[in-house]
Amino acid sequence: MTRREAVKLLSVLPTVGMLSGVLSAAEPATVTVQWDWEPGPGEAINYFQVFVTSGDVVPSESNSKVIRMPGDARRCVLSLPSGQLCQARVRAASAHGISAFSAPILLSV
Amino acid sequence: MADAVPANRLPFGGTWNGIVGVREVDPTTRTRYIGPLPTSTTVAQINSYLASCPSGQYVELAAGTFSLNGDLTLTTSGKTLRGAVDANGLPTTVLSFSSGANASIAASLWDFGSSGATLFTTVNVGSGATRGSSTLTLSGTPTGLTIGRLMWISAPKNAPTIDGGGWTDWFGTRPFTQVVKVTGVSGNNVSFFPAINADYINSLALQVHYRSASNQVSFSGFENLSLINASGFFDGNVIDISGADQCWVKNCKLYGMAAPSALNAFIYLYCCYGCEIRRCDIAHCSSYGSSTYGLASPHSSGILFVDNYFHDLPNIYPVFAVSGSVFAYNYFTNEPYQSATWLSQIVFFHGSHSHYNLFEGNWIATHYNDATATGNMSHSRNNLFARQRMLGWDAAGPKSANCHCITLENHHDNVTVAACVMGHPGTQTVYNGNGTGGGSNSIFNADSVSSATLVRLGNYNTVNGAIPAAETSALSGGTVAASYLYASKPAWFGDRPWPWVDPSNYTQSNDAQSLPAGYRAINGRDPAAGGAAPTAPTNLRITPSP
Repeated sequence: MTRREAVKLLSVLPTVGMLSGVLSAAEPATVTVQWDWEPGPGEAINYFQVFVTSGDVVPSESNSKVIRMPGDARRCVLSLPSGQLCQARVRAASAHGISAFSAPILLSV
Repeated sequence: MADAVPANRLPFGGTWNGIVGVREVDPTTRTRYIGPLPTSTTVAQINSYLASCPSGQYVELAAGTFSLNGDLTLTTSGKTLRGAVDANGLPTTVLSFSSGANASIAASLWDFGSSGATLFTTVNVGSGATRGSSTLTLSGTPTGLTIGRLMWISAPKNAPTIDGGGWTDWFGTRPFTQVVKVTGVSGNNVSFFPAINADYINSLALQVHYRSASNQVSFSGFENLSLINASGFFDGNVIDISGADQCWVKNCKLYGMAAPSALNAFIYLYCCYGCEIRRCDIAHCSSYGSSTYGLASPHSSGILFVDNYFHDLPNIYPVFAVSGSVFAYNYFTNEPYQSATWLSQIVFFHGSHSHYNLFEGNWIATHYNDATATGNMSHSRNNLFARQRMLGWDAAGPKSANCHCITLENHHDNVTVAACVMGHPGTQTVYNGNGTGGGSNSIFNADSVSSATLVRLGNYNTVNGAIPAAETSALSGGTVAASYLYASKPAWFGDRPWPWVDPSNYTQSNDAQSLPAGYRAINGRDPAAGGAAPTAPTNLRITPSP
């Protein structure tokens, strides 16, 4: 089974997004996440930001890997450090400000 | 998720929304009584028009410079003195006062000191002074007390819970007051708004104090005025507001105050309730010593200072016996001091007992809350600092000493600091100081007593370059609200982000133009109109790769 197949398989398991560490620690793994977002009337998105933190911490620019997805993208491919429990959150940015974070999901490879 | 700020540290009801500022009238709906008056109008004529103006109307002044050879006095309720504005909304009506003259909103002289006790009717409190209560049973009949009067609930010293001292104590001995407005009187029972916040006064020898209706001004204000002094500097306070109920100074520019012989403030609110200082530009003094301030408001409650710009002042606001008030979304820059590189105190508890105040969303150099050296004269309890950009630094000097983001000398109890962005890169070297002046520049400079009850929730600081793990743990899974003043982004924030201070976004929080007052100070105009911040994405999930 390839790494990609393993991630695909694990990501559909009923584990609220948690992947078990079945992959080798030597190579980074990727996982794709997606989200929903409901715009207000006439509201346009500037970008989404996905924050990946190591452990259960409040995400900030300094303790997170931040992936910026321009425009109305609703999915993102994450490269995860191996052997660590990570959390991912996403937030939306428009001309009027930045949203609160979504609820986190747990990731591990 | 639950609010991470302990509920008993918030005002009763959990928010300052609805208990601060002008809430019983809408000044924007007023109709014009007379004007625009030409610049040849004298101050005596303006005062006369204000006296004859019906309640609910305004006297309008034209653009240009008025030479006022005497005091401008607004002594009655329901009146507005309104100037003109330019295309950017900034005042173009200039009031140039003669030396020694100033402006005031007051019906009579007020004095809360020991010599002022005869001005008030005082009645002892029998029962009912619990947190959340809006009715007191008095020990005697409150003769002459009527609906609509302001009433001060006072408490004596009760160290270590209530302490403080000096000239700011009520009647010279009572550090604690909360100002309320009477909504009903039945026998010895008095009802009022808002409810009592403090949960530590019920067993004390409480009193209430009030004056007759003729001493109170309600719902009057100054708008769109630039106040200067022909001599260059005002000799004392620029605007005095005393015994006022929901009065305001809005969109005014106040320039120049001389070195005082006693405490002077550009706007001095004395024994006030629900007043509002909004969108003003306050600047410049003739010296950079102590006792020269932008604001003061002893024994006042429900005050809202919001969206103002303070600059070229050594200090801004000494807080004396203030409660249930909000200082929010103000911008500060260029704060020179007599010792050029010493960061002074800026906005700080400075006398008697202050409680349940909110400091939110300000771009500010520091809060150096003092103990005033002896007698534990400055004292506070249950105050919240939320989503503030606290630099611990200012460019005037530039400041290099006493550069603490927040200082809590002895007995500033139950302080909560939440979701702030703190520090100036390269200035602070330690996270914790010891609560004294000078020393290593720190993020939190609290003494051991204040530290014991200090709660720190999810603040970013530049020493760690992160939110410390202990501050994340302290959230206990809860969140810090976007605001404890507004239920949603206010319209005047325009296209600026909301909340503008975000510990997870240092870049945004370190940009003064994210704040409307900062944007206006830098660009000379308000930010563009905007809308609400977007809603948070939902249903984040892993999905098969394409």
